[in-house]
Amino acid sequence: MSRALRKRYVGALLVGAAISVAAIGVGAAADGALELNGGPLAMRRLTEDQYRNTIRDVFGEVTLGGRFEPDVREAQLIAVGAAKATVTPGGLEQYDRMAMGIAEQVVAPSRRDVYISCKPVAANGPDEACARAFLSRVGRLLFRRPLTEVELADEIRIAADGATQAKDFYFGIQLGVAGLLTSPEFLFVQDRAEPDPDRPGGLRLTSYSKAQRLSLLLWGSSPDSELLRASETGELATPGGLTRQVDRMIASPRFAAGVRAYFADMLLFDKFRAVSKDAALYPNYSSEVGKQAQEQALLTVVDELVTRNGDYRDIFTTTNTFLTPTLASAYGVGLGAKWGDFQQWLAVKLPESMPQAGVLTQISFAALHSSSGKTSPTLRGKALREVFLCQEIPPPPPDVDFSKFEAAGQASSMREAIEAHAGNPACAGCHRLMDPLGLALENYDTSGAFRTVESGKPIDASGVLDGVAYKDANGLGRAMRDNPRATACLASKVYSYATGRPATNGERQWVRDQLLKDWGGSGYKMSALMRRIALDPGFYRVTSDSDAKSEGK
Amino acid sequence: MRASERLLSRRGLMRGMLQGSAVTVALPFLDCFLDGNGVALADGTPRRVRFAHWFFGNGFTAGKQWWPDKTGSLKGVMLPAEIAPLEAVKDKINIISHLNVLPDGRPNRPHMTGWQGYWQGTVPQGPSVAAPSVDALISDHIGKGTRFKSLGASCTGNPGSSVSFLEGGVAQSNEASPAAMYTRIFGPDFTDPNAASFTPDPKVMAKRSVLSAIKDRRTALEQDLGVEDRRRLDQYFTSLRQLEQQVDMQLTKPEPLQACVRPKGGIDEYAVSDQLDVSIKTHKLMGQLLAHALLCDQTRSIRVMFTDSSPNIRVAGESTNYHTWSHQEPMSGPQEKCKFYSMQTTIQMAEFIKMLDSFKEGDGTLLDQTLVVANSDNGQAFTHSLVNIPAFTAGRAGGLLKTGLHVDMAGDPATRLGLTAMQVLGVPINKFGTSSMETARQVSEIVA
Repeated sequence: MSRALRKRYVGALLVGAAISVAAIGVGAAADGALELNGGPLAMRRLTEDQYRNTIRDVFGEVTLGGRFEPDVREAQLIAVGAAKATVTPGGLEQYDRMAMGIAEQVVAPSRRDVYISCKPVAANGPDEACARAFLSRVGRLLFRRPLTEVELADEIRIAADGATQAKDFYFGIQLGVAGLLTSPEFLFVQDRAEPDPDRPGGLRLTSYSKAQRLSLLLWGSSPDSELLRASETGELATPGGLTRQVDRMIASPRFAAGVRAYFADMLLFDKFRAVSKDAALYPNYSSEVGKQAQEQALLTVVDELVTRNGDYRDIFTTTNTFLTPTLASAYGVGLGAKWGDFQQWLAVKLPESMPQAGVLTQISFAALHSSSGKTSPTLRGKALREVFLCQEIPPPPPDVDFSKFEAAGQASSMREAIEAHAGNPACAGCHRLMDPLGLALENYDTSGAFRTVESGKPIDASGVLDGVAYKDANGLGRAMRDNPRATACLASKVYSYATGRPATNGERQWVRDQLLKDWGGSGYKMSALMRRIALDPGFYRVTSDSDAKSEGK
Repeated sequence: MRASERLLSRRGLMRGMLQGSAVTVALPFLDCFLDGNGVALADGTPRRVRFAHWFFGNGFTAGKQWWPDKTGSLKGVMLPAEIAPLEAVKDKINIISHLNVLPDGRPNRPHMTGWQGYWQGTVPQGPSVAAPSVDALISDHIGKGTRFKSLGASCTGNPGSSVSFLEGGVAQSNEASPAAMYTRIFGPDFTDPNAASFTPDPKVMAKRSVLSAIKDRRTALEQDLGVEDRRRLDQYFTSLRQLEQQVDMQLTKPEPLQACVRPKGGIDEYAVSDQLDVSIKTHKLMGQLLAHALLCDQTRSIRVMFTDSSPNIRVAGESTNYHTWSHQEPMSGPQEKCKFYSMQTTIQMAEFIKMLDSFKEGDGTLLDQTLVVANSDNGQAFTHSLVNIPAFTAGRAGGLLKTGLHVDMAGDPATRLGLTAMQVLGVPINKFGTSSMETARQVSEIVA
């Protein structure tokens, strides 16, 4: 029986600024399973990936002639930072530039007939009917709901003015599309609530909010026309309708893009834009290698988790991956004569002589979490803890006595240099959580290239992860695979990613005690995790944060 | 009319204000401030003061004295070795020593607390400060009519590294690529004020209606939002106004600006990075572009991150970077590496000042019309000290500032410098900062 407290729902809540509603942490359902009771509403700025995916899904392959303002990261995720992000003048300038560029491509003579099914009465002036037909169709996809009459009238007027001014119907359409793309209704994804008929006094997301939450989770993109139709008809509000849509979405090719978007976020790939390596010391590294390394990791993950529908934990041990000749040379592995095209991706297995820990020994991890001139076992270990195990490492104390490191410059190996941390009690506490993990990856230099020796000496990659000893990266990969924190971490990150905000106490408890169990039962498959979340009615419930917190204690 | 002929003298007015209980020294642009010292523009157009923030991480070499013993005039004073490259411009700068960030027992987060306290006026308990930085408050005030409220450049290839924050603590990113910076300022959307003819583009005119339509839906949009989300949407609409202004400027024939020359294009894209030679190249290109943007009145406020707070600059072919050296070279030793990077930083600071001074404007130079604040965020990097954080000003902001001085602040909060910059440039603010960082006192020694 649910022990949820319920306050009276006040009709004014939906228009009022503050929603203080049903105080609910986590309840117990009749069958003993924990009940999920949602959390507060969020307003998220579209992330760069979501923007790109939406444009691709709505308009096909068009060029984005602008640069995105850096996404904000919070609780390790851009998807969560997005609920704090806004649009600065510099950012809007770029959105505007991209919007005009995209719209120009949409109405280009070579493409316009593909996008715009109607023809204007005259190409040199406005045509309200055709503008209405096109802008309402595109507007619905971009605003993730049908345009209101006011919005549609705005866009039609803009199109008419533009067509008149430039004596060109299509320029009017271009302005209309650009207007939609520059609008806050497109750039911000806003959750909206409505009374929940199943829980008197309670609130739930509206069908359109539900649809956008689903599509951002499963596709990293906006809802398609079919999902919006299911919202309009009320189908999405029924358990059967929801299941049909979720299964359709997971079966769609867009699901791979959704999994990619999640991992690009979790693996911190936005930080690649600031990565560079010393050209003299690491001549095989380039920004192109950096780009391809991200692609390699995402191809690997999608192959394991979507194509093969495999176990999430295998990303730490898999030896299946993809390489181009450029990347192969960046790793320093032989090519054979397989390749003709230097951009071509081939499915490969790296030689067993290279100790491997799946994505951890890929360039995308090794190079991203190192400095430009040498490796950093500390940064690698810190990233490993934070990204995959959800363990936050506090910043170093400001006034560390660094005198222990005076000899570090003369150390003959990274291990020797870094072990000075252990000798300093102020450092040892945190560094013993990070350094041994990073040292296991020393077979990969700061550019991610494979090596067996450092300064002429064989590399010692042994260490211990949470009590499990290993000899090399292979062992670290296995220890990560079997570490229960890894799956708990993924479940909680995916849940926050899905809502765009940190989980409430009640949600955290549900993730820990229910979701994780159910996910384990399905063999830790990515699709099962996302499906389990997406099908839970509690995922769409709206409760106030503070109440949920006090209840969750 | 000369200032001396007026009823109010500038100095007299200021003294009166300072001695009164309400210290609102937000110098308004009264005509009486346009003195006859030759700093007003020769063509009689209103003064356009500019602001530049030049930031560098890691302070100077630990334990080395970077400030002169003597306070007051720098005339005849030999600058300490640490800042010797500034010798050539010492009559155009002020050295501000012994400014501190006072954390009041809150944690000193390495490479954050320093600039937060200095530039946002608050040492937070948590990781961030929900307040604008000094440069943003200045840009809001002096950049009202310009195409860009401010323009920022990163010289280390990292657009996310920034110490500039808008209202609510929203970070402003920087341009990292000079080619992109060129396009942004002087690309197709640039309207040359000195062009012989001006024809507003009807397509741009039509674009105006796109933006108005969005603005008109504001009330409906804000309806259901909580306070925090409404604030984020407000920022969007502030940005929208800026965009509208940019469109308007494309539709209005600009006043000719004698000193404005559109720089030649053709800046190649190259791999920007924190490799020292690349950073120096980026700094030079960015500095030139930003100076031209000031001269063409595209903006009145610029930001340059020469290095990040945790400066990863590194000589090509060397594996260890400046930041790592600053923790590895013992303070008791010769600190050769730290000295080298510190010197490189000062050389570039001097180059930046000289560069601004090389552009003629009116009967003076661009530097004369500008207030440059150049500062770091740590006194010394070895222990991330918040004591005696290096700071300089350069330029005379159109005669509003004196130069050629060393002022010893004796451990006062670093916010005093930010407050001075704001008040000198007319920001209506009478105090700045919170807790021990709160101040209502200018660095009056440098105010003209």
